[in-house]
Amino acid sequence: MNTGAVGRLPRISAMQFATMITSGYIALGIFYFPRQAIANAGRAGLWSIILDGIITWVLMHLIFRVNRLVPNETLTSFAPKILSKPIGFVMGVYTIVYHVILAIAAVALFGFVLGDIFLPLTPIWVIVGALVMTSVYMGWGGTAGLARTLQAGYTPVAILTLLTGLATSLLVRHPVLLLPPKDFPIVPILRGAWQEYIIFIGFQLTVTLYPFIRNEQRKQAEKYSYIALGIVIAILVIEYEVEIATFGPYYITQLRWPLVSLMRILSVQGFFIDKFGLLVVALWTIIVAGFVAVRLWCLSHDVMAMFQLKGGVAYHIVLIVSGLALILGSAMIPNAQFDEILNERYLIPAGVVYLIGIPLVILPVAYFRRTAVQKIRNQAEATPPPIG
Amino acid sequence: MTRFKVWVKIATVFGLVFLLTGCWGNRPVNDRILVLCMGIDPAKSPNQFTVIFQSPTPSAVTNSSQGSSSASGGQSEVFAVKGTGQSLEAAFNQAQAKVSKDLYLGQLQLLVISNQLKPMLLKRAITSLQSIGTLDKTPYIVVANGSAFRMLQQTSPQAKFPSLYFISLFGCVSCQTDALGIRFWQYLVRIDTRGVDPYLPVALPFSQGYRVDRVALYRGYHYITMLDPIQTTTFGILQGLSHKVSVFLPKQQATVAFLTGPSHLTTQVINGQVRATFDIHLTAMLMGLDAHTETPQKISEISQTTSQIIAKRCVALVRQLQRQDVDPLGIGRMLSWQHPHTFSNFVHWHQEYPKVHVVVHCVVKITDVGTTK
Repeated sequence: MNTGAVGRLPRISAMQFATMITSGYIALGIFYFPRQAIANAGRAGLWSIILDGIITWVLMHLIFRVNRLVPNETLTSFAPKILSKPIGFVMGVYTIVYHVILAIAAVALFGFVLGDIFLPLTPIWVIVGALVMTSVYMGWGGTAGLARTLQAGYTPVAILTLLTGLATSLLVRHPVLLLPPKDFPIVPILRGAWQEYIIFIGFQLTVTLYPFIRNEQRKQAEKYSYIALGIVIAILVIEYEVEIATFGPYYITQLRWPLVSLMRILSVQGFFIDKFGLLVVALWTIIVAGFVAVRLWCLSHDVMAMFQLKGGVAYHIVLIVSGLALILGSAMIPNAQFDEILNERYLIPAGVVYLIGIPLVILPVAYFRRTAVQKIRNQAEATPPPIG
Repeated sequence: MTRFKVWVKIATVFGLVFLLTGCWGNRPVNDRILVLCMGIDPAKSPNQFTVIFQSPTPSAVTNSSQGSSSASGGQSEVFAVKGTGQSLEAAFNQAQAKVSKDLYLGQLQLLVISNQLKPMLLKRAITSLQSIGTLDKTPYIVVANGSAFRMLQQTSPQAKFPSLYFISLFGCVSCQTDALGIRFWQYLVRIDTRGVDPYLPVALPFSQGYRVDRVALYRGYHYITMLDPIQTTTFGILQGLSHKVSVFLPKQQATVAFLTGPSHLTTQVINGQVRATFDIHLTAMLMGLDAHTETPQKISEISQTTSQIIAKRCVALVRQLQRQDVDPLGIGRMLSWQHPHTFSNFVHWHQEYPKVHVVVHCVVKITDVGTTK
């Protein structure tokens, strides 16, 4: 909970970092996947997904370079020192507001999904309330506790989802659609990649999480994050192929949540749970709770860094207030359509601007202010690692 | 402070227990009528339909779970409530008013639609069914020739209630002559996709149960026709769905049985003309020949004859479908996948479809000899 440079509470391992980063994205976009890519590019939507993956890899690389400038401090902490206080403050506010709205969109969306499929008689705010309370509880113990919880909960569900995804290949009706598309319509592919980018929005929490990695495992943590990204892209490609070969491209564009629809038609006759796909959708609660927990953690640390708050009590208060903000904010989203418009019109552009803008602004300024950066690095850590 | 923390923790745990159980608004199973079959018939009024909600009686469910096959004292194993209205919701409301428990559609296993339903009414019903969140899209869907209610009233000694019969029938793909089972989502995919028309199996009640050896063809929501059993087996071969299809050869006095194998459809555009090719590769069992006549030449001759017969039947069926302007084989859909630009240039696929040049290549390979004397 101490956001200062020295004497911070227990840090996380490289694997825990990669788990937290991975759980920081996917959760929101997975429900819409791959409708937007196909609606824009048809079968060539596959190239949109792969393009999104490549762009994320490049942006992740750039964000890690930003983190390496002052690896022992969060962006909200060190940005004012490099860019000037007003710009750093604006950047901090942007980060906080973005985390809040992203988390609101995620919890509201999952509230609508659960309400639609499983709990039609339950008010959405009850579903959201339970989800946010769980997330607050997950983040209560701080970074290391959250990381361990995610490893215990998120990773098994992710593996189960992958296995279920492979099982859904039994539903494939049109194997001809498994062949990669041969056409490359540039503009539709780019448009599809843009609208589908919601799947990767959220990994910018790296800028807050990076200082919490054990010093000696930073390089490894970056490596694991890249590997996790590669696995995510591979899973998305598999799911894309299965979905398109099951439903055909046109029908997918008619579905609100295509992957949920795919899971819902998966039944394993003779197994003790017939509607196995539905079980997996129910277990996605853990994925979304993880996403929200990581975001609440991030939000709390950014708020604390911005207002120079310290200590466990402050962290818990900020965490609870942030959780309440999510519950109240999600109550203002009237329906799933509104949530989707919020994602498409505001969250994707704002997220992409953030992801590109941060390295684009900070790296050149840091280059010209090398001496100042070196001073901040030495203040933050006795023996800082090389920047490159 | 410590005591305060303990109370906060207890309150949090209790809060989570109440919120996370998913019991808000929950209804016990005993308070529900689990609708397993739903039938949709046209009503007397032209703009209305009648919906039949069929559920097994509690005693039938108990007997079924205990493996008992005896009827419960002559009582019916199922009961049905009907509702009529201009929409599915209105019909549901009327049916709900006739029972004391909650009619629950989340366990629906079979949807029966009458072939006499007007397209407008069918579309209205299907659209409403799609928007029921708790109803997943896995129920089987069959067509009743005439009244869905009459079909649902039919009993079979093989299963206590219709849903069990059809789950058993369609669940075992290789047990049937043709794997004709269509789940609701498969129907929706066809109805929403350009270049392909839906087809549905027809269930004809008879004294011992149901006969399912025909398919009903639709153009969108319009019912067009019903294929006869021979045409249905040919349709099954063209779709790669055949398992127990047989062809009798009078000249050789032999039967080629268990014809099964894939069918691959490809499309080409040659000088603006669309050409559809079906490549069918079937394996089969030869039955009825005397042992001493089973020479390789004889078997080869029978293979070729069977291939020709099947190819001829297939071409005849496709031409009939083209004449009727109904595309259940998805020639247009395949064109849209393989030649998207050509397909998108057609304003109305149904104007082009009858002009498609269709070729069928069929190879029957006899892999086994069934009977020897």
